[in-house]
Amino acid sequence: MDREEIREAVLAIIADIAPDEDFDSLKDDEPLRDQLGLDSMDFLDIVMELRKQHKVEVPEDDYKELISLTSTVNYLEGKM
Amino acid sequence: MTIDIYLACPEEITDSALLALYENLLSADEVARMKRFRFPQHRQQHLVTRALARAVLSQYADVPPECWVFTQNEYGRPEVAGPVVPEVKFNLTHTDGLVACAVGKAEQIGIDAENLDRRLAQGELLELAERYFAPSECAALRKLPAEKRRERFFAYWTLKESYIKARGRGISLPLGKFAFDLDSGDSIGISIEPELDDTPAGWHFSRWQEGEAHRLALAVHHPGGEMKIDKRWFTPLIS
Repeated sequence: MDREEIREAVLAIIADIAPDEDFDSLKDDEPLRDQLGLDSMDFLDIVMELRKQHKVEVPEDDYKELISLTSTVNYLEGKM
Repeated sequence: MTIDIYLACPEEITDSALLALYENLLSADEVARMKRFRFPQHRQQHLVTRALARAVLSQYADVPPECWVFTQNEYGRPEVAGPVVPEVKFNLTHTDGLVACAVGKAEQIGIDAENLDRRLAQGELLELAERYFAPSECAALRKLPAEKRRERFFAYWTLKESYIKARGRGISLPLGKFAFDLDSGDSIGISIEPELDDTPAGWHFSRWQEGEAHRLALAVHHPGGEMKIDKRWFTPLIS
């Protein structure tokens, strides 16, 4: 997957978890948790879906890489 | 040792003049963070949570609410940086319809609140548990009739969150490496794998509900003695 495809795949997972969200004004470099009001349970749900849908395992030590959309795409590039 | 719990319902604080006063209490960083939230209910939760922390801490030290300076540890937990270090520790939680602040003279405090009606279907709850909880917790969940699993899931979840928050580590601490036992009488037991560098000694846990929807748990590390909990509803700058 290229960066744009990874971005779309991540947004698709978030859209399932937070279906009311509108992503048009989402800022890629700002924390996803703050912008969307996501909490720990939402975050672990996203990590679980990455594993189920894209076979990507994110260990606890790497959770900090998934702060913003940009940092998430950077982390997942080459893994998906 | 007594832990004071201050509870507020952000949705019920609608006086715009009072909300403006809350915003004046916040630091520039806290206001910037509030503005990042895209939805009014999240901004309101953040505003009331931060105002609550400031007003509550001012009950324990001679510092006006707007003068507290906060920092975050490397895992994002808010801590007091000044102007004085209070004798008490504190921890915050928020969920739809409820914010809470736990305060007390203990070594470590963590609190978590969840709304039972939050998004996530029954199947997904069990899936999350199987993925992240300890094997003994998953086995206990599977043994329960389906209609009792949601309640038990949130009991484990809030206890686990309160423990990792008290440890100051958040979800970087693997949730499957420690397990709560809720099936051996009234007390809440915990077992902790050695790699987490901790033992059950000195830990006190409690869980309760507020209204129909909210479940809360508290984790306190303080060697010796019993833990008492003193809860009250609190409107910052009014109560």
